[in-house]
Amino acid sequence: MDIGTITLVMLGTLLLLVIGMPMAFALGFVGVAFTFGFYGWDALMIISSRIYGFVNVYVLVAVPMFLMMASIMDKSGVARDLYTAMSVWAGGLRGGVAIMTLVAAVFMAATTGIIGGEIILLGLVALPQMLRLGYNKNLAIGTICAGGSLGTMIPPSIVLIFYGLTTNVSIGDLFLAVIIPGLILAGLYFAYILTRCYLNPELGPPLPLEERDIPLREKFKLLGSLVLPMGVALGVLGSIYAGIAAVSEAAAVGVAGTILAAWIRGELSWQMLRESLQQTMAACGLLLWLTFGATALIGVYNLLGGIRFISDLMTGLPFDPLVVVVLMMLMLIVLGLFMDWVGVLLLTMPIFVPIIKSLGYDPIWFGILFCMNMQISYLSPPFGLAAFYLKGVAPPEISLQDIYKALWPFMLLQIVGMSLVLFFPQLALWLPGLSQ
Amino acid sequence: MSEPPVIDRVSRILGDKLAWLFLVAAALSCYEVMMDWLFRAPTIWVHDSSIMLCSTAFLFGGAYALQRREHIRITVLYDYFSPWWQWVCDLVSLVLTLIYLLALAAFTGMQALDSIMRVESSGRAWDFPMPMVIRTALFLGAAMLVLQAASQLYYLIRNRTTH
Repeated sequence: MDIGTITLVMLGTLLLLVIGMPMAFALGFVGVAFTFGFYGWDALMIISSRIYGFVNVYVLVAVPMFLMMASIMDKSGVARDLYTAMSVWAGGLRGGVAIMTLVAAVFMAATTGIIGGEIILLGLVALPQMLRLGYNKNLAIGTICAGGSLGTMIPPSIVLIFYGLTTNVSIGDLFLAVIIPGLILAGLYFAYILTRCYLNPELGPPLPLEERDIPLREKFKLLGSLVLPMGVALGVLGSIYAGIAAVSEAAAVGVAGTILAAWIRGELSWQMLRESLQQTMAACGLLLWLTFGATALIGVYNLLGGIRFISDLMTGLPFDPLVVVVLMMLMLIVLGLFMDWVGVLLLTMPIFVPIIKSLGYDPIWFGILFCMNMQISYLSPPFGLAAFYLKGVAPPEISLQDIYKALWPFMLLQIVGMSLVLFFPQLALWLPGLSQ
Repeated sequence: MSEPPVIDRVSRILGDKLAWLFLVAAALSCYEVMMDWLFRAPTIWVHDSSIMLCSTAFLFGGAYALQRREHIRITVLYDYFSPWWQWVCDLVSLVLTLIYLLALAAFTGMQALDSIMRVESSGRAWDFPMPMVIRTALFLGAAMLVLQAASQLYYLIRNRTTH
C-alpha cells in the first residue's frame, strides 16, 4: 500500500470520531491498530516509549500549575471585581460600557484565563447591564464572546503552552510573541465598537449621568481590590519574560500567589481549593490522554512516511510558500468548525510545523497564527463554544441564532488580525527577537 | 442503579486524593525558587520530584475524566441518532477503547516490570529511580482506565438487557 492510500484509509477510520467515541481513545485505537497491522506486536513498544518520553519533561509541570492558578482565580470573586472596577470608568463615552467590558476581558484573560468562566461571568454581569442601557444586542453579545475568547491568546494561554510542548518551541518566546498580535486584535475590537457607536449613537448609549457620578476616590478604591490578583499575574508573566524563572517555576509561584491573594481577600476555603484541584485533575487527565492518543496516531503515521508525504505534497505545490501557509490556515479554520483546539493542535501541528520550518518560516510566528486561528473556532457556528457558554446564561429571548448572527463581524476582525500577522511576521517576532 | 458502580467510586476517590499532589509539587517548586534566589543554593531534586508528582497525578486523571465523562467527543451526529443507534455507537466506542487501553496497559506494564526489576534510575544529578516510578504510574493509570472502561461497558450492556 502506498502512503497516499494509507492516508486515506486512516482518515476513513477517523470516522470513529463521528460516532461520538472520545477523541483520546479513537485516535489511540487507530494508532495502535495501524502500528500492529504494519509493524506487528513488538512495535507497540514504540508507542508506550513515546508516551513515557512525553510525561518525563519538566515543562509539562506548567500545565497543571497554570490550570490550578486559573481555576482558583476563577472560583474567587476576582473576575467580578474586575468587571465592576472597569465598568465605572465607562463614563460619557459612546459604547463605553462595551469598551470597558473588553478591557475587563483582556485583564481576565491574563488572570483567570478560563474562557468558559469569563464568558459566563460577562454574560451574567455585563450583558444585562448593556441591555438595560439600551445597547444594541448584537454589539453587546459580540463584545462578550470575542472578548472572552481572547483567553486563547493572552498569556498564560494554555493553547500556547500546549503548542510549545508539542512542537518544542520556547513557551517564554511564544508568550512574548503574542503580546503585539493580542493587542492588535483587542485594538481592532475597540476600533470597531467605537466606530459603530460614533456613527450611530443609539447602538451604545453612554452611562446616564447619575450612574457616572461616582467620586474618583471610589473608582480608585474599586481598583484597589484588584492590585493583588493583577500583581500575581504580572509577577508570573514578568518573571518569565525577564528570564528569571523557568515557565513551570513561575507558574508554581503563581499558584502560591493566587492562594495567598484568595486568602487575603477572605475567599479561600478547603472547599474551593478542593474543587479547583479536582477541576485541574480532570482537565489534565483529558489533555494528557488525548495527547497520548494523538502521539500514537501521529507516531505510526510518521513511521509510515506520512509526514514526509504531506510535506512533499505541500512544498511541491507550484505556489509561493506564503500560499502554503494560507492553505494551512484555511484547513485549520475548517477543522476548528468541528473540533476543539486541542484536537486540532495535536493532529495537525506535528505535521505542519516541520513543513513550516522547511519552508524557512519561524515556528513561533506560526504558533501565534495558530492561536489566532483557534479564536475563530470559538465563535464559528455550528459549535462555537463561546456561543454555547453565553447561551447558557443569556436571557431566554436571546437564541443561539441571535448569538451567531452577532458574532460574524468579530470573526471578520479576527481574520483581519490574523492576516496582519500573516503578512507582517515582525508583529509577532519583534519582541522575542529583542530579548535575544 | 441505586449506587454508583464501584470502579467509578475508586476512580473518583483516587483522582480526588491524587489531585493534592499538584499542590505538593507547587509547594516544592516554590521552595526551589526560594533556595535558588535567596541562598543561591538550587536543589538537585525538586525538578525531578515535581515531574514525578505531577505525572503520577495526571496519569490517573484519564480514568478520573472518563468517570466524569469529560473526555472530548464530537457529538454532532451522535446527538441526532435514535437511542438505539446511540447505544450501538457507545458499544462500538467502548469495545474499541478497551482494545486500545488493553494494548497500552500490556506494553506499559511490561516496560514497568522491566524497569522495576532493574530499579531503573534516572542517571541525572539526583539519581533517583524516577523512571521506575513514572513507568509504574503510567501502567497503573492505563490499568485504571481499562477497569473504568470495562465497568462502563458492563453497565451499558446490563442496562440494555434489563430494560
